[in-house]
Amino acid sequence: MSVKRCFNRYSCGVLFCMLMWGIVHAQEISPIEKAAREGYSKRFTDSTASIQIQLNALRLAEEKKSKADQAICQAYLAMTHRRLLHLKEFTRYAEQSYHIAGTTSDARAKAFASWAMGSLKSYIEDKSRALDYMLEAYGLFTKLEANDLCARIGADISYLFSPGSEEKVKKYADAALAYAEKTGEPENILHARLAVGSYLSDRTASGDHGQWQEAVTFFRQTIELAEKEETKIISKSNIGIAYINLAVLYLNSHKPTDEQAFLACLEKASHIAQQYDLKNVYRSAIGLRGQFFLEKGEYRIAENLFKTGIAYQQALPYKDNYLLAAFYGCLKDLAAREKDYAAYYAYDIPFVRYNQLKYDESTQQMLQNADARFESDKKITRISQLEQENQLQKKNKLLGYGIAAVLLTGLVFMYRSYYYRQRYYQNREDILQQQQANNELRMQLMEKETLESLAEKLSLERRLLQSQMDPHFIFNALGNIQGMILQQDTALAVAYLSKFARLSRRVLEHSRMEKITLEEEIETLKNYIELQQLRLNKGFDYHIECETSIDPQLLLPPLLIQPFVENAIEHGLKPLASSQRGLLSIRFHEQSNEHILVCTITDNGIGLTESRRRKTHDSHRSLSTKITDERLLLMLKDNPHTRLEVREQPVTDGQGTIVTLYIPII
Amino acid sequence: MYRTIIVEDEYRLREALSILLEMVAPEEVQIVGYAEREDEAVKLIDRLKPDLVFMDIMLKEGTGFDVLNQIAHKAFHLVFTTAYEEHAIRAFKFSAIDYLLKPIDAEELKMALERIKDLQGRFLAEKQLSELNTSLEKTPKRLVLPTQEAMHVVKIDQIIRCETSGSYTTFYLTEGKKIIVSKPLKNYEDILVPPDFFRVHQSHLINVNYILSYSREGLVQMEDNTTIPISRGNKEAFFKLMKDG
Repeated sequence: MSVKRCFNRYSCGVLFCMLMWGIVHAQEISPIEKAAREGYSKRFTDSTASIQIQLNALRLAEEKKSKADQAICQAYLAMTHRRLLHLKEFTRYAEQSYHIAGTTSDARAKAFASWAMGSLKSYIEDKSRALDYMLEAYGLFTKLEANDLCARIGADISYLFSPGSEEKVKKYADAALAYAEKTGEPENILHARLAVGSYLSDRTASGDHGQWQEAVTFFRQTIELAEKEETKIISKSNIGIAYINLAVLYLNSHKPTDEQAFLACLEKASHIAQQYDLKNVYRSAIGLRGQFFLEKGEYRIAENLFKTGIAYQQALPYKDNYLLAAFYGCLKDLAAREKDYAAYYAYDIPFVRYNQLKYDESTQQMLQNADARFESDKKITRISQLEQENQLQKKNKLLGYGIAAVLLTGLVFMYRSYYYRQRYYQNREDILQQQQANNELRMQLMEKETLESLAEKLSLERRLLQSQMDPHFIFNALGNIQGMILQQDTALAVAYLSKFARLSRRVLEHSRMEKITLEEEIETLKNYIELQQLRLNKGFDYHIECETSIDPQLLLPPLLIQPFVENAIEHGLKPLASSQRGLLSIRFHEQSNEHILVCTITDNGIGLTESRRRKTHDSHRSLSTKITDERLLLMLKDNPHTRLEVREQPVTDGQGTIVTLYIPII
Repeated sequence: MYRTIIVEDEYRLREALSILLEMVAPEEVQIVGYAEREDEAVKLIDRLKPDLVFMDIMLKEGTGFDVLNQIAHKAFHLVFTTAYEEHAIRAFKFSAIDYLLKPIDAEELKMALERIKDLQGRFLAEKQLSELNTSLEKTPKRLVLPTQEAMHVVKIDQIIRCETSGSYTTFYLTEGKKIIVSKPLKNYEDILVPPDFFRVHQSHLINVNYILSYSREGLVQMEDNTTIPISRGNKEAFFKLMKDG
């Protein structure tokens, strides 16, 4: 997993979660709106008081029967609840605001209401609707010359257009910055600059140095401004985000990274994060630092940072599985680079767990958002239906007065009962249709998921072949054949060549198959081991033992075992001093009630700790272990007993490594 | 007569190389020792002070790079041998260190010995070793260009363009400097790659950062006031690179 991207995405997420402030232009602002705005500005510091003040303002607006003010107060309340992540209240206030604003002709109220609705749609990831509302609000506020809100919404629109339309992303971000500069408020300017910075950063993905330099300069200026005006900025997280984004730019620059600048940014970000308790900024800073030291090869520092990040997250009152999975993923990566397989598998367990939780969570979130989208659409149709009904009722009333004078009231009742019955059936049908639509959406989501897992499987298969036929092994084998020929040992050369050809053919065939028999797997293993024996001049012995009760025709996924045998030979047996005779033993037994074949690979090589100490660079072997790992993870879905254990032989039994694979029987 | 040490951990590959050397240059090479572990190799090289070392990368314990970083005696010619290490091969090219691919080809071995003879006793340079170490660690910023006179270390971002004629490559650098190397352009094409470098023509490799202008007809104007043609087959890829990046 690309961790860098993951932290990047994280800071983007922070950007989206950021909320707005409301220092509104002085003209035509009612005292009630001022009160609501005042309450809204307290949302970072004291959320209870913030909501209380806004509710008071709303009550006042209701008492004064000012619909415009009601809509504005509700819009502010909606935005406050967004900041508190209360989706239900957020939805309720945004919709009420939009509904009430619809009954007035007040442009300001309409603008606020559209803004709240746009924000809601963006929150539930309905981008196209969000853009409709936001553009409406933007247009209205532009006419009203409310520069601060134009700046605010312009930036939001810019984010919404990303990554689809580069041109519009730029246009709205630039416009937002122009509006923000008109207000002269550092708060507004910083927010708009983040939007501009965001597209400048995105552009650097192409690797152009000039554009990178431009983005860095821009963020440096932004930070300068933020530092100077720190006291006037309410959302401190924006300052932290500016530092984080600049650090990401440094990290993504052409190597070597400007270490000092990078670390200084993160230092500042952490400082602000601690001062104002900005958890997201703090975690991003830890993660980025860890990523940096990991790439630099300072594994101990990186490991400590990732562990600190995990401990920090665990101490928080809420879980963030996305982040925890990312941290454990980094630790896994680190262990793989260090060839510390024991640690690798130890980190793998929490990684898998959090990944699963994250996956469940995001599926749930997706469904929840889909539900919210559906509910919200339904409500809007209901509102217009009710309005129509109301009008009809009014008409009916008028008609009723007229007719009542002339006709029997019974007739009217008959008509109305007929009308309502029709309506009732119509409504029921509508609801059924909507339910069906909802179900279809769920089906689509599920289908997407299946497709994704299929794609995952396919790409794994492709890489499987690559991992099995280690190019290093191939060319060394050819080199050995050359040696035999040059030494004029024709018989040996011919035997070796046939073995090599047989192995290549088998691996090619097996990598395309879903399952093979145990017998075939054992044959391939023998073939592989004998080649290695010849190569290492019979430096080790081997035996393969299979419990007699096992049916040699049972089926299992192909090519799972070989990477571990390869590890045992290359890292365990090959480095042994020539005085010590190597021994490799492979045992199979069955746990039939769990549909598991247990394969134990034991060697008397130099052992994990020693191998780790000598750690020699080998990217192929970490690749093949990683792929086996991903394959085992996929199999885990079908058989929960799938597992892998790596441990060191107890000293009393001599040195060496024991790998135990629990392979699902198909 | 080159007093030679072979560092190789597989005995049959070691044998193969010895026999090949015997076949290709019986008069010029005398094998004085073998080593298969890092510590063995360090001791052997410092004790026997050879003129030529063939060095495998992955040893039974440690690597050939570790050996180089520990030896005191460095006055020898160095040829790496490798089965498959893409990362290392890139680093060899940047630091102009010779290497052979296993299984070793007799012709290539012969050519490597010819190149050594051409050097007329100028051994491995300290700056080549330091470039090797940096190139292994991170993306290289410099390139070693070996010529008859010296080992030139040039900054990659100061290369405007390269032009080939036969088996020679001329490097045109900023400030009007130029260096001629007796290696084909192919050797550099693999390491001077997009987005900064682009092979516009069979005999031209250019640094796109030094382009002044280019025309649809397929001519590029460079900052050193030269005009380079773009061959028909490369046009599309070139325009795409200029557009995207």
